[in-house]
Amino acid sequence: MSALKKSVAIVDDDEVLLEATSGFLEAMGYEPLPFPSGESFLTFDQKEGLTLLLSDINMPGMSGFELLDIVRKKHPDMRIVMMTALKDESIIRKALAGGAQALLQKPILADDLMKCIEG
Amino acid sequence: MSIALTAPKLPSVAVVLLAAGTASRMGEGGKHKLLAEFDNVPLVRRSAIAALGSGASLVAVVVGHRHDEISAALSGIPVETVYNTHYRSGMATSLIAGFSASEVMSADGVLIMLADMPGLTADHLATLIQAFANSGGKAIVRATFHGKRGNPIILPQSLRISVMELTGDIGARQIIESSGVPIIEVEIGAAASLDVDTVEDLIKAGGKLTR
Repeated sequence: MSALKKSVAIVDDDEVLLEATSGFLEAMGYEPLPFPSGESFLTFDQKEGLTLLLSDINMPGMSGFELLDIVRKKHPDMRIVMMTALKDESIIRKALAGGAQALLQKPILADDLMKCIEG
Repeated sequence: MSIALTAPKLPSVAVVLLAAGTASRMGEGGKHKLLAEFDNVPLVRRSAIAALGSGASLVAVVVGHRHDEISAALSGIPVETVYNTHYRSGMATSLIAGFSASEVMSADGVLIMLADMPGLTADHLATLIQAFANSGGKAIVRATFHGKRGNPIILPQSLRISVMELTGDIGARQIIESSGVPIIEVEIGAAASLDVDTVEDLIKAGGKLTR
């Protein structure tokens, strides 16, 4: 992981989104770290240097909420932003109550994403 | 020892100008809205000239309905015309035809422009292309008016396959909503939402029906 660039971990089972968001963040000068599942993110051993974790909610296997729970307990200082295509107020409330900094609605607006990273 | 210094290559953008539709809301056997004149210039030509002034690498105009007259209205300007034989099947076929043009295939991004938007200028399009370049050619760019979604849009190369799979009378909106590619919204004013679908729209926008 680069010491010069802000690094953003992206967790999503959607390969196209993972690639697109990574490409965009790279173009914006960040270091994207893509993970296809919550499980694979948890095996990553350099979480301390992350600027932000961006995670989808609805994923097979470990859900985004489960990942949020685990990461909040192990790394309480990590900034976490959730994202979802679902339009449901209760999901927003649950994400924020669970410790997420924000919930981004898909399709993600570049401005919103940048604001979250720059926090 | 010499060191070659090269500026980073900016993403290239091709324009696909959609001018193939039947304009059914103009009335049966009616005059063609894209041949209506704004400041004595046929609308389709005015749109193509705006596209040519935008800094795009290529302008491909997709024609279909009354293609001979539309092509004639474009005479003398350096655009590539692409004839969509399936234009009656809906917008998807025109998008596919435009995206299939050889030089469009090699561009980093494609600006999709509807030819019936008389308010669009070269400056509007250049602003969108600049936003696309600023994203490294990796984002979707969408024009807005007061925050509301409008047109044109720019799709990055990564979404070309999704466009080629479109069917029926579907535009690119579905791709934008489902692709997951980050969207950059660019406010360009009323031009983003001003299109002319009816005779009334056209006259209100300052056009004059001719043919």
